[in-house]
Amino acid sequence: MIRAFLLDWMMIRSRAGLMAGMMTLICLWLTFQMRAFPGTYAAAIFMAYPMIAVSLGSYDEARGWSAVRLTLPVSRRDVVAGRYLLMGALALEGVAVAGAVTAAVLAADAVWRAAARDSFLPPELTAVGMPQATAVAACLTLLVTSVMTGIVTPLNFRFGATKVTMILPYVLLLGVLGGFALLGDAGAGILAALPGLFDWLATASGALTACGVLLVATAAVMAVSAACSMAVYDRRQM
Amino acid sequence: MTIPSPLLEAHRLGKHYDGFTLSGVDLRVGPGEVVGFVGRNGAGKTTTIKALLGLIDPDEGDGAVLGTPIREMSRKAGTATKQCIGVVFDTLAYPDAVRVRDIAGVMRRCYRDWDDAAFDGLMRSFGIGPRMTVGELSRGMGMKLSLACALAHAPRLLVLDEATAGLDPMARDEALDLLRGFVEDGSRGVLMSSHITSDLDRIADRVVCIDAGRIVFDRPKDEITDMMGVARCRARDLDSVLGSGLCDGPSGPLVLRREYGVDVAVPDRFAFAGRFPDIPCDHMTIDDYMHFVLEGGSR
Repeated sequence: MIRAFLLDWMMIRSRAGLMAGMMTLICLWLTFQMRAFPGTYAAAIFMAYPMIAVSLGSYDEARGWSAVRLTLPVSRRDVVAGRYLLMGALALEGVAVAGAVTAAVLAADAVWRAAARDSFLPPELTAVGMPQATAVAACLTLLVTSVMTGIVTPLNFRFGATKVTMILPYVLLLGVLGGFALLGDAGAGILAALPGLFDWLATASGALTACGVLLVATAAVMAVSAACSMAVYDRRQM
Repeated sequence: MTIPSPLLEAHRLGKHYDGFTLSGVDLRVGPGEVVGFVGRNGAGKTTTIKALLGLIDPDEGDGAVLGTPIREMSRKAGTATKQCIGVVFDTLAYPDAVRVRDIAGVMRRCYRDWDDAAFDGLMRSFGIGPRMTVGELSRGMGMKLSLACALAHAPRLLVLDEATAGLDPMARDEALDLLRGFVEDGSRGVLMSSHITSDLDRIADRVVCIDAGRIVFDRPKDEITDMMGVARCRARDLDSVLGSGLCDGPSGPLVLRREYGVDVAVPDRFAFAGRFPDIPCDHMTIDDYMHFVLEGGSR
């Protein structure tokens, strides 16, 4: 699995490095533009995780890499496990970059204030409830992006990125229509319950519980996705 | 005397696609052998190699690579076997931005017996610097890099699929010298699929030809190049030449009609020259023999 992880990492290393730099700048800009941290984490996770993870499928198809990779001492299961390990690392990279930007901004402000100056941060950034909102936003983004990559990755392993690019719009359309069909008349009820939900999320216990539920759901989504990927890749003919 | 176990073997291998069927393919590479694998475009060479390496599952038959069944090659059981195999395809699969040293770094983690000194030595002799990116390499340099990666972990078996395509004549000479050195100790082997039959003339021990998914001949190379000949006959000489009994091969006489005359494949050109001193009889090359088998007739 580690060999397969390193092979995947080699393919995207230069791109991930460039992306880390860009992410840092974008996160910094977003923090002050939106006057909030949740968007920063959402953007960082989205840039690091699905954008690069989904592109790994196109590297597989380029120049026969998927066939060449299987001539190296890795098995098909290693390839799939290594891919999911890398996706986890990319998600952590997103969280880490956003965390570094948050820490840098708060630290700079602390140094600024220590020189007996007023804070240069917008007041919203230090508002009550901001840490809870940030944590829930980050975990929700992890879940949403995991659903995206969790659907696309087994499709890439089964059909290859070129075919998936063609069929993905139909998959998304079916997913959205299916979602609306499942929700049915419950949509109005959900909207009505949202203010109460937000009040609960603003509490420490509420945020912690929500984060726990979201992370467990993320892990479950990726576990199901990994199992599907292993099953389809085991039968894929190169 | 015990016959050493083959490094690679295939028995009655078959695979069906729409419009193409591989059928009844038998192939063997023994220790110390270079086996040339030839055939027209689309004949089934790459399909056979992919089946042997576990990249596709055959529909019929079986085989083994270094004792591992081919159906297990891409699964856990095959990972240890692949430590001892070097494979080179006809394109370099890494992205343009990856540097040679990055590839070496990952290969070092992949292969237990990776030899940095051997890799660096090959890179120096090929004129490829460690900081060069894949995008900066020409096609020939890319092939050399692939060959170096395949050789630098002490493999027991090399599988080359059009690996010398794109190399200039000097580079091909270098590559052939490396392959000759590779099999010298008598324990290692090479399966080499190539359209450049002149390379196989120089290095192969056996030549296997596939056409339309079936093996059409499997012969020692020396039998073809050292013993056989091409008799350049005039049309009026054909009857006497065919009637002499000196042109009967395993599947009967092989004749190619040309604009200027008739070429006849001769199993023993020395005997033929003795009997027909006035009819020119040239060395047979692998290329010539392929033409005879694939396009020739009995008259």
